[in-house]
Amino acid sequence: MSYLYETQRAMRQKRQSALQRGLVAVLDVGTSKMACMVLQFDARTVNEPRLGNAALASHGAFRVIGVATTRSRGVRFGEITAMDETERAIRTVVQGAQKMANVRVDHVIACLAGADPRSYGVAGEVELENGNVTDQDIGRVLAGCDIPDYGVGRETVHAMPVNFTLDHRSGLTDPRGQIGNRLSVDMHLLTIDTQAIENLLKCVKRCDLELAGVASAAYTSGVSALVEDEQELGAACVDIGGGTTSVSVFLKKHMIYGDSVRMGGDSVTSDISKGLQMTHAAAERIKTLHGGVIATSIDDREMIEVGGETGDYDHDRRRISRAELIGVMRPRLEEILEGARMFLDASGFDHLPSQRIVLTGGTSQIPGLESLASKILGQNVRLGRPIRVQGLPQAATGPAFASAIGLAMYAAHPQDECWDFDLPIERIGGRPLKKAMRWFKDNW
Amino acid sequence: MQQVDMPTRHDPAPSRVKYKLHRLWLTPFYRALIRTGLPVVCVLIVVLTYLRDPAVQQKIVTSFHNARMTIEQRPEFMVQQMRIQGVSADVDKMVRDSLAVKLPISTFHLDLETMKTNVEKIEAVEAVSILIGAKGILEVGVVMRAPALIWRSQEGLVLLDAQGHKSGRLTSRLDRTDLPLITGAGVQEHTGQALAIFKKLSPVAGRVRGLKRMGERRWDVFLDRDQVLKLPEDQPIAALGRILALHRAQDILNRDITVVDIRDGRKPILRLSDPALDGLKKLRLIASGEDN
Repeated sequence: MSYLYETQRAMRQKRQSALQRGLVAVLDVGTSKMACMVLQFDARTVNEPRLGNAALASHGAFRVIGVATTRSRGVRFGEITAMDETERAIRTVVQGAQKMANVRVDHVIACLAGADPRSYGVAGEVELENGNVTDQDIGRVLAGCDIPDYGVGRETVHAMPVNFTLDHRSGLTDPRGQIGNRLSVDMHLLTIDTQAIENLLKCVKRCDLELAGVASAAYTSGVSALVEDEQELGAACVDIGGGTTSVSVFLKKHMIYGDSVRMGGDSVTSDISKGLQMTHAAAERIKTLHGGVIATSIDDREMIEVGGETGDYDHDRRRISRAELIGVMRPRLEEILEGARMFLDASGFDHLPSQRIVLTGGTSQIPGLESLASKILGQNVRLGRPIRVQGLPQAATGPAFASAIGLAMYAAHPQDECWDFDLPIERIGGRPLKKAMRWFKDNW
Repeated sequence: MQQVDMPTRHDPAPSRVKYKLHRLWLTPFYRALIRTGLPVVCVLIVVLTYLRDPAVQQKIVTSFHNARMTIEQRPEFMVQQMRIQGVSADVDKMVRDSLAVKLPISTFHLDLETMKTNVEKIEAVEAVSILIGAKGILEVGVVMRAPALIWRSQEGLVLLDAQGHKSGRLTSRLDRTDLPLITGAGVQEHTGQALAIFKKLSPVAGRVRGLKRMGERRWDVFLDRDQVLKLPEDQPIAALGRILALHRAQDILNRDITVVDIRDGRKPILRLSDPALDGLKKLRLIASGEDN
């Protein structure tokens, strides 16, 4: 915990200095697309640790001054598999965004979709020292949570206090200053593979940038795609991306669960390419232009040119009906949604007061996916587009940019994490000077 | 069989060098350096290489001098004549020497302040005004000092004006018999007093040979026949008046007296010459009847 605390604190320092300068870039490393946005902050917005969720209405504090996207290379299932390729892609996208913004950025906040996220709910409890809750007590109770043994090679990316309980009163978001005897906290912990973060760190460093924060794409797309009352009353965000499908569950404006299915739009494309014998590029094109999930009788008569460059006339001039295409795409999409269903069941989504499900991500734009999802996930499904942020060009407002925009909002209004609070002194240790100072303060 | 050329997918990624250069270009400091610093340095290099050639330097200096000369020597700025007013012939020569101006000359080369102080160094000159008048005439207006006294000092015969300033030299006393003569050290501050004494002496003007400052504090009046009038330190005029009153009443200065000493201020003490003293003694013996 202490090592993690230090590294996250260091990243937080960098993030704060970037916000002081008023410039930070957010980088969404996706499987099919890489997006970078340069954000300009109003210098007055200070970034103090505060409890409770930041109001979504206040996202006007930053402005997007540069956006660039590029085809992603070297990323599979949301994880970096070829460092050089990824580095080149990051260079392309960062340079494009810098060019548009006409400024140089040094700090980057990145989000990762894959890397096997796992959620843990942890709890901690302390006796209050002097009858009311201080910052110290919150630090103590967060440090006192019994961290599960999540294994070697895993790293915590999010550790958010979700709920505070003071004596018998539960559901507190900010217990500071309240009177009580026992303070307990529920914390949501999200861990991902260390190697994925380290690879990302290395790629970013090779581009002369500094990583000022890491977030999970499941969390950030939920932040941007869910509206405020959905976050409050309970909702799930299913971000169907290129290589992965991220699932996150929100309640009381906090993420309480996050996971990802290792399937996405690229799986659909490769199914088409394999099943209908065509190149990957042609399959992607046909999927985007003619794809769907619900076949009607007219689809039997709508013939699609497959195209090809093999030189074999019969092969290259093939035509398939749209119904055939739907017949290939639908089982894979059902499989993806069933995977999401499985995670939702595991998370206890059934017990939430409201069970709204929001589909977002690039693949969610397949026509008819909404009705397919309502059969698998539940009745209450809608397609979600990310919230509008200032300065964003029209081309970057689609559902494919949900996690990038959510990351920008996360950079502007980070939720309190465990490392935003000072650990109690006895836990850190080795700070005799601070101890002495405290002794002086207490005794004089 | 027809050759099928596969479309090569172009990777839009910038090379690492290009990426770094772009970031450098976006840094405000380097941007300013490249956009303004570099052109300035280039121009400076070109200009300095051109200027390093001695022939070029020579040319620049020559053309500068030529331009300067043409402006200076325009007829509007030239002084053709000099007119010196208010001086005697010998002082005129001295003034010309001290001005040391070779005509014709440009006004840019005339330093009127220095010329003025130079002329004012001449003893006979009390004040001078130098100005460049119309039609290029240098007007030198001189006010001479009026000599009032001749001072026989260690430097020789010096003319003093009424205020005690030196105003010229004499080689011979006979050149200015009209001026009274004084001598002794430290007279320059007391020329007014001396002049007043001379004025007071006007009843015996024909007999006065001169004044001598004694011990830098009081005056002795020398008359002919080696008569000396010793005046006191304070109020010498009044004391002199007393002597002259005595002279008027008793004609003492025409008698056989060598010294009239009125240093006391109230009563004069007379010293007879030796023969007169002998005669007086004889007369007294006769008067007392002890004739030998």
